[in-house]
Amino acid sequence: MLDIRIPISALFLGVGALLAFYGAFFHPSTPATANINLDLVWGLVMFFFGLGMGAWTWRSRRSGDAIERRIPADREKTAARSR
Amino acid sequence: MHAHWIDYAVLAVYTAFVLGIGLVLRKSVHTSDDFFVSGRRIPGWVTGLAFLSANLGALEVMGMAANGAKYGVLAAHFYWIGAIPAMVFVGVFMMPFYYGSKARSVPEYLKLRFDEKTRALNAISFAFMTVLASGINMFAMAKVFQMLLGWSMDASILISALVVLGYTILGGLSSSIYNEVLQFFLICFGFAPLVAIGLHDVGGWKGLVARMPPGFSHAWAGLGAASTNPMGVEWLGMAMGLGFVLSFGYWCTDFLVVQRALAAEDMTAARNTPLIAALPKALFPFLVIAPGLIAIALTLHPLTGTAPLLQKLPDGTYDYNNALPLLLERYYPSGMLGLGLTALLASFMSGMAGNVTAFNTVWTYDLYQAYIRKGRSDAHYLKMGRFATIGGIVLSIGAAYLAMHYNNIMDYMQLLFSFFNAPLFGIFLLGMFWKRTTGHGAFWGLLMGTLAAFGHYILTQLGVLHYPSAMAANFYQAIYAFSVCFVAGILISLATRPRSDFELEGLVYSLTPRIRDDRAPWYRRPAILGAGVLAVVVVLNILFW
Repeated sequence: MLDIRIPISALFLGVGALLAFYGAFFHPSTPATANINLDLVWGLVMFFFGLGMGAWTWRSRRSGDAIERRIPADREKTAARSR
Repeated sequence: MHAHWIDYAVLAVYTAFVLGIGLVLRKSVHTSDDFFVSGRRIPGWVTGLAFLSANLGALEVMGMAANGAKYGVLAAHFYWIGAIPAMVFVGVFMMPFYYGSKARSVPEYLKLRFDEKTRALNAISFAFMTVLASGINMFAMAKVFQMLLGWSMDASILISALVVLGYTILGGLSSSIYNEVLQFFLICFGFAPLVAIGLHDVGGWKGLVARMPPGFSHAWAGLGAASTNPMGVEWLGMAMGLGFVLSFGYWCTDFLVVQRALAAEDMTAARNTPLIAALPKALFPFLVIAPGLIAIALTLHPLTGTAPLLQKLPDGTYDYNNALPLLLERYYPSGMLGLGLTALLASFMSGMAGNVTAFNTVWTYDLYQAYIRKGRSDAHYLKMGRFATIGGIVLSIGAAYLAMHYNNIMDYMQLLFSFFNAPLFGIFLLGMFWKRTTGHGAFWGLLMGTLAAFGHYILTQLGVLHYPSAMAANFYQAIYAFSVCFVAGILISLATRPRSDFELEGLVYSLTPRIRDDRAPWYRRPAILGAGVLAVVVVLNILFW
């Protein structure tokens, strides 16, 4: 089964990069955000969150705690229950 | 405001992700158990965030902003006394029965504990309610898309329904849970800057308080009498109606949220599911109610050179439901607007998918398999689950048009809960903690409680009973429904024959061995987690007294 941390990481990397790119090159703003490039700043925050989530997944896979690896045991548990 | 290509790009990336997740998860769906309860193999932190997010649909996000604008900080009670104690209760005390009994749904638990007719009554009323709730989510989202993107209501409803249909039909409950977790993070990232900018704009917390009506910044100070607070409820109605009956009725018995815990990988993860959800839940008013406070402040005392934010309606109230979209429009530049819309879209879709997955499970297991086609193959029920997904979405579209008649969608939702969840909680309380409760007592108690709620509703509509606000009427309706159900349940149980202790093992508190947690690390023990969350809520209530 898919490890949920992978799509979370990928989504935030993608959307964060998209916003940061748009903010850096197009400088959008509203009257209340005139002093800050919100797209750029928040895009980077999201991008780094995505990186952090990716690092967590990578670390736990290395330490053998990946969600997928629990599945064979769970399958047996479920099969035993249904028997 | 017109959305730019970047806003559509962010929306498109998210939509592609959820459909992609559905496609990947499809490979893991082999049996009906995989489709309806995710094969019981999801880690606790994932089911915990899903437990929180399943309830955090667009209805909740927009409705809570509307409540913030209408009632002020009082709206936070829907989170603090209106959710946290019940979430701790279901995790610590009730989950051992739900998860331990191996029931696949709440109605199925009722069948194990009581009898077939109680299950049927609950399954039918739940299926009805969940379709209505799903429709409200749909309506809420269509309204936002109409306002911010200029799409027609019909087009918004149809497109969003197709996406939800796509991923729920592919991956079942797992798809739904995964999207709920994505949504949790999107809501946090999508609304945190909005609150920060809005607060800064109105001059911080002090500036916000100065611009709001008197009493809007207090959670308890105005509850001495119904006339001294905007909700028109005094502390007893709040504590008993919302804090006890409606809250426990929803969080402890509503299959939409309980289903997330049933997908957990083991008993500890299942018990911790509501507790993991409770901490962010306690803090979420800062994300979802604060925008409503900012909106009413900018309406009553607009900043120099700006128009009032919310439109005044002919009856003298404001169009509270639009508080959140209007703030997004005012504060977010292109790109961020796309992110805000994506957070709303995600909450809409997960709210709807949550209802649809709960509906297809109850329909397939508790109605179709139990009464229409018994003893068919597992593949047959898996196929029926997928058909039920389509049926649930079609019915939700119809319900979306019903929701348009209410000016505060949250009032409408509480009305539904008072009809169905409030009496159900009475039966659960009796059934789980008093082994003498019988199937007849449960069935007739449930029916009489629901009828009492209908009777109360009719009397209120006819003007025979009068309350200061719709919310006050809902709270008292819930109290009456619960009380009638509880008393009738006890009396009828005493007059009928109970089941033997042997049959009730694992289903009733006094006949179930206590679960010992002392081997788990402290941060995984439900009692410690529960006490910690309750302490946080007490502090928040004191801070905003």
